[in-house]
Amino acid sequence: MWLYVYMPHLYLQSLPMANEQPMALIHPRHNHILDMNTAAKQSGIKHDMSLSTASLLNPQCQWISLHTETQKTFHENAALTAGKLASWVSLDEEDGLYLEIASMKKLMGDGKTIAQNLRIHLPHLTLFIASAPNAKAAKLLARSEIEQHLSDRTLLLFMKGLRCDRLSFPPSLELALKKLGIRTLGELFKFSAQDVAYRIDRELAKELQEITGERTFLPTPFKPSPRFYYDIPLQHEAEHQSQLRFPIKNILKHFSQFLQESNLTSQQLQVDCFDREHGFYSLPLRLARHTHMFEPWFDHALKKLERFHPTTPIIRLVSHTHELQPHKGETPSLLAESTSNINIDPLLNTLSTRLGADHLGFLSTHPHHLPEQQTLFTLAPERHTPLQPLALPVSVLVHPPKPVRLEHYHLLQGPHRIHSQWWEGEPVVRDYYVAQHQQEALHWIFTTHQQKWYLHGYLS
Amino acid sequence: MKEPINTSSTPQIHPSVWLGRQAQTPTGLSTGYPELDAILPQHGWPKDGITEIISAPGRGEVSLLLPTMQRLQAISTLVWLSPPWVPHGPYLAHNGIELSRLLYVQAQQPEQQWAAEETLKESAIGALFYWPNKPLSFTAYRRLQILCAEHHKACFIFMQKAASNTPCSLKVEIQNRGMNALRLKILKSRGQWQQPELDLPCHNVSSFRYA
Repeated sequence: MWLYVYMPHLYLQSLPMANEQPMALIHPRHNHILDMNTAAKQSGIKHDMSLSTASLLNPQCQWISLHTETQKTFHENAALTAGKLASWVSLDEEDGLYLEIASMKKLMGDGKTIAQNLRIHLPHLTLFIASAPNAKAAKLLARSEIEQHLSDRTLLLFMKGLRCDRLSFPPSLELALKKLGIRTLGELFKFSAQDVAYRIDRELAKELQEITGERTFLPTPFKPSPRFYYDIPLQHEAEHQSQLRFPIKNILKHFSQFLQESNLTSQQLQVDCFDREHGFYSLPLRLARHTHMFEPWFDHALKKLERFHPTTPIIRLVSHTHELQPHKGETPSLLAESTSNINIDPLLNTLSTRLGADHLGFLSTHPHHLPEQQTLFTLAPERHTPLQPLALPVSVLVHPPKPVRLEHYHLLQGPHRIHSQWWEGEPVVRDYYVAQHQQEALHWIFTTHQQKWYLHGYLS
Repeated sequence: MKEPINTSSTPQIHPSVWLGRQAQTPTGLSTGYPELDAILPQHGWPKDGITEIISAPGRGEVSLLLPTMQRLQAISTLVWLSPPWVPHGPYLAHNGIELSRLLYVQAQQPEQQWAAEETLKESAIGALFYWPNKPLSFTAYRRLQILCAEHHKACFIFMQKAASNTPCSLKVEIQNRGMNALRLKILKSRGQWQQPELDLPCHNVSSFRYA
């Protein structure tokens, strides 16, 4: 027995935003509307509409670009919640879940009861739930927004009476069925599988067999991504940060062991220190680079503890993280470069502990016509920087450009015009010059249409 | 009868006591400019000490060190600590600097000094290029100098004005920058009294595309 949960507005409804404001989900590349909330729908925005049309209909609407990783997270979170009610949960497409409910019927109840419980557990989501003896039958019903809970006896009888135009078939298939004069599923069932495959669609023939149970379909079980959680009550209240060293060392040993056993690495671990009044102090541990080794974690934790001053005694430590990555082992090579053993991870971790990870990084280049956009900072640089064709003589930039007076300069070379593109918002047109400053130094200055002069770099 | 004084054996001197003749050994990092190497007592930048570069921005202080950076990057990572401006990646990459081996660190005092000391202790780092936002105290200089000597690291400190009596190994002032050359003066170097001046060729600005 299978139950299918269809969550048509999973992405938008999982976002922590007010539902009253008009919101629409757009495709990140094609810029068409994928989903919208009721407020946006009322202003006339429809599914598959282009962004330009939709923005004309409602300029105040908030446009949210679909992010695949976020979508996956929302889907997995829903699966984790559903996992409380069924032993076998499977992910389907981007917004559906299969739940096997027969094996736990005595404990969790039948399809109707589980559907009610799911609505309690996922109150923020619009759900369409159906159950049937076959997974594909339940899916067809739920995706067609028909909430039915069918048994072996009632399945075929109910399915035969369903009109094809009510079902969630793709438009091309719907048209093919219309051309053949097939109006209900019952009429479609009269054809043999070979006939359906030959005359209409091979995939449909397979699906029909799975719906009626002639062919077995078992969805792949969902395996939740690994998480680390470790909770230790302290035997004695810790009134000073130094008393937390040993328990934190214990946590980090467990954490390192967990990472090594699971062949994972991590960059972040959250340690919550609870006091007697159930308040807690947060002690986030964040390394600059992923690692599974104990030593960098412990060094980092000791440095963090130096600046940790709880005002009330700590009685319990809870550590958790879900930001885990598969460990990418390095294959030793006889032909490896002599420099491949340069490991600056310990330094990065040490510096990031005190300065913050956003205060350090490697440079990388980015193709852009504006000089200030040509350099990026990243903690994970490319192995080798591709050689750049030299366009600008300037080795360092002043950001933001500093207003200067032309009287202090003697212009040596220029102008070199750089301007932004029309789609980049406010137009930027700059005429650059290499100029000698009174201090016997070479500066890179530019002038705008307003005849103002700015220092933008040095020929250092 | 009086025993003759043994002059062949030298008395035991503590290793941390600096001797003038140590500076005569040619163990410096080549600057990439033969004419500059020739006038420096170690025939290059000090390998395990502080080099102070006195220059206003835009006099070629970065270009002067580009050949040394290229050479050091072959075996190690370099650290730029708190430059007061943003490095321009495409220029550095074009001049042979491997950006994946150039760590950019932004910090304010007192974290700056701490970061400089931690960097010099790290074996994977080849050299530190340090732009302090305030003049360093004598103690801070001395600590860096000792760390450079202990860990055999080169440290380049960039200042706009020359402070007197700093315990650096070498102090160089860039006096002016022309289109094709920059003028240097050696203000202090261990192992020699002279304060030579010389002109070094630098990138020809007129070769850029908008000339």
